[in-house]
Amino acid sequence: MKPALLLPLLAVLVVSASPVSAQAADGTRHQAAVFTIQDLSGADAPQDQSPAADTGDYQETITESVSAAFAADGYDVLAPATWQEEARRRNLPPRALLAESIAVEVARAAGADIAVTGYYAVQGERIYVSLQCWDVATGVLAVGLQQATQFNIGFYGTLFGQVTAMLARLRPPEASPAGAVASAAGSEPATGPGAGAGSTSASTSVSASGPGTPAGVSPPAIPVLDTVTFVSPDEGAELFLAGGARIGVVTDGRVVWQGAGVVAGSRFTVEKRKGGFHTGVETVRAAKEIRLRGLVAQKTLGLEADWTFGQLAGVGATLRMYPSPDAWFLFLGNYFYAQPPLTSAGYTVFHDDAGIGAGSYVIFPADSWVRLGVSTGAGAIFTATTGPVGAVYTDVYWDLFNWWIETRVLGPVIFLRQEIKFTLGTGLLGMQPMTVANFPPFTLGVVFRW
Amino acid sequence: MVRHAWHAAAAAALTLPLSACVFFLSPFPATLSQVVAKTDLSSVIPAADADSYQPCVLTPTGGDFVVLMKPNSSTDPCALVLDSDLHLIQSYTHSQLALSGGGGFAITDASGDAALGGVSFTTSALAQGLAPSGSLNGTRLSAPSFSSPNAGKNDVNFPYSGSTITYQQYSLWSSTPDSPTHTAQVDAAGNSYQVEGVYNVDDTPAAGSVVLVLSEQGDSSHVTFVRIPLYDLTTSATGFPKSPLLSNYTWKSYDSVPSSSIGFAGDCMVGYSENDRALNRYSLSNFDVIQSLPIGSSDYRLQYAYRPSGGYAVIYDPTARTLTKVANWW
Repeated sequence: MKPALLLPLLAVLVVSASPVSAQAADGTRHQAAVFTIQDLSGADAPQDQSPAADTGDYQETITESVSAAFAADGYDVLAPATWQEEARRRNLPPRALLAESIAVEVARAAGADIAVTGYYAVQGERIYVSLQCWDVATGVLAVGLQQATQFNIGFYGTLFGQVTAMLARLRPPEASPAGAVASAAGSEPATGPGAGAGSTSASTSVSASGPGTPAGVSPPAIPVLDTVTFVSPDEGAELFLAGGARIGVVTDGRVVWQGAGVVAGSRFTVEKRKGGFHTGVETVRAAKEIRLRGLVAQKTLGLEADWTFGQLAGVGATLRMYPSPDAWFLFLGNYFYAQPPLTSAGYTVFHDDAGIGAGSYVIFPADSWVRLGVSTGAGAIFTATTGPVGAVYTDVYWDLFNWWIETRVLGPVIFLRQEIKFTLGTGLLGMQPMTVANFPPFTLGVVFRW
Repeated sequence: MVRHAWHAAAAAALTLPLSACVFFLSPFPATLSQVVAKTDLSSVIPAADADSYQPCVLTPTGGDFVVLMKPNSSTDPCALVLDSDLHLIQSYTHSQLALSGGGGFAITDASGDAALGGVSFTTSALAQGLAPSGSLNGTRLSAPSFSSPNAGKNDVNFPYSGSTITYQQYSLWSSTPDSPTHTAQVDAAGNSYQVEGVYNVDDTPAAGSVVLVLSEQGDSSHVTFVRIPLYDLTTSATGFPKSPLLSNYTWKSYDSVPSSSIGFAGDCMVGYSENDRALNRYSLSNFDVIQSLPIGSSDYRLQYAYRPSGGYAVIYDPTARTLTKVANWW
């Protein structure tokens, strides 16, 4: 537990261009969207979107303290449900709001003038807090705050005071000139993800120390990437952030995302779109250079070569036609095989299995390494005996249910399919399930698609 | 592309040998490729009476015949005689076979002739479709029987059902059976059985064996193989065979093996197991399964008969009224 006594603030860095008013020029109160102050404790480079188990509980309290300071300063603080609904519509993970562009977009949609983002990190007995106030109208940083202090129950009161002090320096959003924005302490980025967007001014640091505060405490390193380069084999593909914000078009094999403002190592999702290819969704870790997987071309035809256990003295070929590329297909197949004699006294029997049907992939998308599918259909097996007893038989069957698993790990699509067929008693086989060694037949095959 | 082709070839090279174990399996009966002859008998077998026929393979001296007999019916024809290529030679009525009172069985008798019902044929007579060449001196084969050429004995008419077996033994076809009458209880509990067949599997006088195929009364697919020394069935000494059979001789039971599929095939017993959906070969020494051939489901009405000296089987399909000759699959 943290000590009960209030310990002083260690360092507060507040930068602003001019004093502010909580009222707009027309006298109405400004709307502030205070997004959840994210817990980035436990790692210099956060690996996921989940708060640390033991420090994540402070998120709500810290966010409420910040909100209370805004409210006390005359701002209308939007109910969290208001902006959470907008975030939900965009399918945004919690930390996505650390990105300036996303935060501003969500705040604007929620009707706010000011977007407040921030994060904190607890290290031992200390806590580091970083807050940013974004002018929704211009998208630029209006003011920022960073502080590192002892983490105890007095921290919240201190935080309230520091936010109030920060707001005193906040100039009216509508008056914020682009570029005249806050920066950060020391050489650290001023803000979390997105801070780089539009931030061009030199920073001015103002430090303050509370009573008894030892000086010279550095905040924990939270590496933020302003520029991220995506390397992609799909020339001309468009990249989007999950939620729709466009990153750019792959040109000469890469896309440079300026002003990314993402925390190094954090995860985010990229959507890849290109005509004639399946849209790809890929979750990546933030790094200076991110290599994206190639998109999967949409295929409308496929030719399958297959071998069925028990019918190995032959080969099958099936033509697949995909009305919906790589999703479902109609097929027309034929399998010709010989049934060799068991001893030298016997004679070879020939079978030809012709069938039609429809199949569909299930569960896994087109760019998965492994996919599952199901199919059904009907067909007939023509059997010709040789030797002294020559005869031809026809066994009509219902291809009741097939399922298969396929993979592309070896290059071409290789599949293993189990076939549950039911013969209708028209020939040599009775009205019964068709089996090989008392099991439904298995077919191994390869599919070439184009 | 070359890399992909290599991967595909490697996968196929690994997979195909692994699949070789099922190379000979098929959705179709494995014996389909062993069919060497087939004949349609629908023109000579009345549809209403098709279920009454049972096939057997007779090998009188120098001959090889397939005979369809009617053990339990008195309507004609009583017997159809075909050569080993399933060409119909002749059909015989009950009266021609001295079976005016009912159906009959057929065996190759101790003198090397073919005994059908109450008469006998030499190989030549049977091959030419002639009238019977001899009689059984009043004996009529009305139940499973066997012969021992080496012992000069014909052991006939093992009873169809009951808790004891009683049969008559003839030295060749003497006018009266040897004495005493041979009787033995099957099991100590006195359960009722049905004799489905009796096969002389080794005619060595001192060391040979006979296999008795029994089924439980009312359940012809629960079969019991009993191996009895040939001596115990052909001696005139009293006390033989030893009673009860199942306490004195090697035996083994199987469920779901239709008795109509069982036969002696020269070096083993053969039957179709409904549980395994396979043709099984059973050892003559202890009746363990020594080999299986999965053939899928099989019509229980099919009637099998095997050439006692090996080589082939014939399968009678009463639905289609066809007879099919199948080369042995082992």
